[in-house]
Amino acid sequence: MMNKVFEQIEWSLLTPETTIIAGIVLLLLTDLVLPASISRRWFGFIGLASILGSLAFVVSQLPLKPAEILFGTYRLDPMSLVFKLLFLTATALILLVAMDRKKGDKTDRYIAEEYILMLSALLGAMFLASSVDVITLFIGLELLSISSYILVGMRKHERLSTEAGWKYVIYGGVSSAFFLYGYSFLYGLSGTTNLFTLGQSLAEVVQSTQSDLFIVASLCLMLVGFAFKISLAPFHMWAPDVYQGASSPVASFLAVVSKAAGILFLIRFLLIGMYPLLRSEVWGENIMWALAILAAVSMIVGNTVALRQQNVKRILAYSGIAQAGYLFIIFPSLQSNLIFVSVGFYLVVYMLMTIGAFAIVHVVSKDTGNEELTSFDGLVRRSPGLAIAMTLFLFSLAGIPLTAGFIGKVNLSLNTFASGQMWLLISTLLVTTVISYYYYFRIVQRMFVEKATSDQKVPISFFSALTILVVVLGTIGFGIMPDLLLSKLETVKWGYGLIPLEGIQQLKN
Amino acid sequence: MMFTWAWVLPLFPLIAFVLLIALRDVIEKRLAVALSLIGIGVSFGFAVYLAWIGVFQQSVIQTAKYQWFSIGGKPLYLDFMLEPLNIVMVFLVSLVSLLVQIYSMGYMKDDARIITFYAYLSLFTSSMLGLVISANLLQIYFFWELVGLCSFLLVGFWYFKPEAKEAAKKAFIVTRIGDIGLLIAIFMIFQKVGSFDLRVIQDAVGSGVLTGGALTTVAILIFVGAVGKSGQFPLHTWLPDAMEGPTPVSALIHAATMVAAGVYLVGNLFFLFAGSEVALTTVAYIGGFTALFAATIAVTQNDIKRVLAYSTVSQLGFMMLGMGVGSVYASSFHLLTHGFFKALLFLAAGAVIVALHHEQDIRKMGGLWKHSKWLSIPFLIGCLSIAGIPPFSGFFSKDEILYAIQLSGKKDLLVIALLTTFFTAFYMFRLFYLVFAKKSREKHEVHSIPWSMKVSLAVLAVCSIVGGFFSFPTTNLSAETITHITKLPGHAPLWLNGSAVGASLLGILLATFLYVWRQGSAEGLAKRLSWLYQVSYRKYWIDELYQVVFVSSLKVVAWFLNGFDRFVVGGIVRFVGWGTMSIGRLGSMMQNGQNQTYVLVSLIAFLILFVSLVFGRLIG
Repeated sequence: MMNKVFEQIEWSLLTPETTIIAGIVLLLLTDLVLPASISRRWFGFIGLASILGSLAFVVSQLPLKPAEILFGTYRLDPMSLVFKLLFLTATALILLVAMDRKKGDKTDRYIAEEYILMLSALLGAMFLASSVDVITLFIGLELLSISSYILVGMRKHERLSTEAGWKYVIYGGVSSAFFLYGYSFLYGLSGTTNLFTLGQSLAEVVQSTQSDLFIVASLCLMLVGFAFKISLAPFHMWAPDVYQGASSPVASFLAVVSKAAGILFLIRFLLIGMYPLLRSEVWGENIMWALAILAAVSMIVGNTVALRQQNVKRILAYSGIAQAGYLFIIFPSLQSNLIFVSVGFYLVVYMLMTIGAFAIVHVVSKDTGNEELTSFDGLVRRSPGLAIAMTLFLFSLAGIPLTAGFIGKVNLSLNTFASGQMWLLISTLLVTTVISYYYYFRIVQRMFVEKATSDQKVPISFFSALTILVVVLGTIGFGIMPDLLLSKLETVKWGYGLIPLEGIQQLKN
Repeated sequence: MMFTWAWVLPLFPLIAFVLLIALRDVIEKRLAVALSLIGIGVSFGFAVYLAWIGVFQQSVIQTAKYQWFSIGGKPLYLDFMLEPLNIVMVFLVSLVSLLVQIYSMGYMKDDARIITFYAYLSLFTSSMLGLVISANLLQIYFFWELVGLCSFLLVGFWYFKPEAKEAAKKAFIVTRIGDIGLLIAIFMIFQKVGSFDLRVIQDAVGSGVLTGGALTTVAILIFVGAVGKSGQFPLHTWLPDAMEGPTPVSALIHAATMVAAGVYLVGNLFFLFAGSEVALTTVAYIGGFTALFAATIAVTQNDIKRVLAYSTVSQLGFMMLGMGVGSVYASSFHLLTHGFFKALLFLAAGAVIVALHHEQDIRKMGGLWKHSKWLSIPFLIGCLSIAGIPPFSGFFSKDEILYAIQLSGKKDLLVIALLTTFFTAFYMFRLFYLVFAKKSREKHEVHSIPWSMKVSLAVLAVCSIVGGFFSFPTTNLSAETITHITKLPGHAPLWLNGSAVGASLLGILLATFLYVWRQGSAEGLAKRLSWLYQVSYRKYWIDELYQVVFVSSLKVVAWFLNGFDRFVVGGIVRFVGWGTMSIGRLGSMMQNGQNQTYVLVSLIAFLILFVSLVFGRLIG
């Protein structure tokens, strides 16, 4: 019986994930077999190869019809594929940066572990992207989270890093507990973990009992878990400490992949599982406002507290909190179909500029030994290319025209505008954006105005340079010709990610 | 006629910028300057050609548009327009930029970063040219921001001076406040009309899609943007500080680029203002107030560039006043002539500064008239022009504005305008006498000025003299035009001409009396009117006020939130931890007292969320 079931499953759908697993196994074995005296610096290429292989498989899956395997828990649909592309690209770029290491780095001993954990975190994110069942969604999320906990605490010799790892574990654990506790109510009501059936039975519950109290209550609890992952204020407090303690590539991984995964989880959960809520009046009356307030608080807290920071990674962490707020302004008006294009575009743009900024922080701090603002002093006279690239990323984060960040912000605001009366949010966005100029500018000013501490060029490896070049091109390219990406995102059939398989087949007939 | 090449106008300076930045370490200085000059020269060539066709032959110039990207399924175009107002702006911008670049060959020749300087100048020109030919609001906003960015780079060019650093930052941030207004206006227009295209928006205003309160709000928000860029009260504070940049940059910012953008924007979007009496009145009174206010400040300033800076603020207010009383023609005309004579004054002031070894305090100058006719005559021409003495160009354009005010019937504004004229003449001639008349108060060995500076000064001087005779394009070419620039009917009555010139002459006379005939009596007057003098000298304490109100309050918010994380929440934790020592002990073991704080914050936040949603549900 079991064998028959296994034969029926289309295992080929899992090729992207399998490639990553293969990469992990290969890394593990090589690390085990290789004598300790041999350098492991080239291990990054194994990781890179498996990511690129996986990327190729995902691309080859793009034209496939939506499908489900493993009893409806694993799903292949346009939404999951797009997010997997994002995760894979981001991790590939981050890996390239991570391979730029100092000579005699103390973490060289765990280099294999670092890459393995990065891959397993990626694997978690990919599983999450393909899941429509709360159990697999949660497992994907936890695989991602637990791997990141260790990644953050990887630099054992540094107190900040261990501390950050601990904080992250505790905070993450608490948030997961909130999420599960919240979900337990829903499970009690519906008796299912499948999102589609969850949505249906919740609708029935609401209809029969005329009360959505428990659903709202559990959503509250679960929001804590989501907001933690996305680092929305006031559930953001781990972010600055963790980003500061983690190495820059890991921090950018958290900022990009982890955040995007959280957003995808939230989208699927709200739009499939909580679907009856969306149509009820409680959405418009309460939940919409709760989400709007989360977005507003994030923008305000992120952008104002950043003003007082002296550490560039902390600044970027607070900026990331604010960016999550910008991204979130569209969530209160979830009904609209436009959100996917806007959110997708902004996520890509955010990925580019964040990876770029962290890559430069990595390269610079490797040279100066810290990430304080002062280590950027006079960078333009040491490495003008780096300084100009950093300026570009910061301008993009600030949303200044000619960068992709501007188009992303405009797109988000316009679509929020089009779908609801969220004036307050838009105003908050614009006002806090102006505040944000101030701290982004402080970094730019440091690079261009202050005196350099040395006149040596900042050493940079070929791969970091490549990553920075790629993201620079992306940031400018999508800023000037956003249609390159926007038109692609508009043709994606996002809706397929939100309806059951039978529904899609009916649609097609 | 069809001119599909509009986009080449900003392209050449842009290419020059890219080349200069890319090759700045390899290329020779002279070659770099030549490249930059070629870039702007080509644009200027096009501008002359366009001016010939569009203004003198008065034919309609069609342009092409290209799809850029789409938002929510609506296509967005890269779109250009070359109507008379645009062409005049293109002409002014490229001419002044060209002359400033020629001038800088002499002024900046010893600067080690001259290539970077030329690169920024090219980018500045390029973005301004892009701005004045854009026919799409989002595109306008793009270039608008880019212009702001370039002025930041150029004002802060001498970054080793702390004042320059501060000034650059101020210029960027203060104008950004105005930009929020503009951006909100753009969003609102898009929401109402569904397009960024100026022609579509104009139709929407015409057909009543955008009317009433919404139109007023949009118009005023756009004006807020213009207030920031054009240094109008209350966002004028950045403009005088922007003097810290190299003088050619000041000339560029004050005459043709940055600040002209605000006035141009109001003129270009005048159809929005025309439909709202409230918006027009706001523009008129803010403009009028700024004109007089800045003129009174200029009277007591002692830095040669600061006097000129406040005079720019004042003159821009004058232009806004003209817009507010409904005459795009008069204001645009004044923008053009002002571009000539203000560039002239700044470049001449720069030459004075060079000649006197970087002395900027006018109290220490004097007697330059004898030393250099190349300097003093152009400066005098500039002064006569800005004071509005016929037949210099300023007279004609100022006259048009006064006439427009008179036609609108607003007597109070007319008084303000005449008073401004009086003060303008007074402070300009105070400046002139202090710098050029009598003997030097301190011994300076006067430098000779290089030919490149002389050429620019000469060209601008000629423009300032004859600029007024070119009547600005009068258009009723086709119904499709956005900027309905029509000349006012008839001419200003003689009494108006007379009182304007009279006010100027009175100002000049007073200056002559105080600074030439009765030297020293000015100080006496200042002493007698000491509180008035202080108010003006301290610039009405606006900067100090802003420091207290905005900067400090923002710092307080950040301080508060930071402190909240640390003390308030920390305090609660300590209070709770009083009972639960174990948590505290665990915390000290981990060498941080923070993580539990973080979780506690989430818990509190969760409780607030939970209570407000769930109990709100229960009660509701």
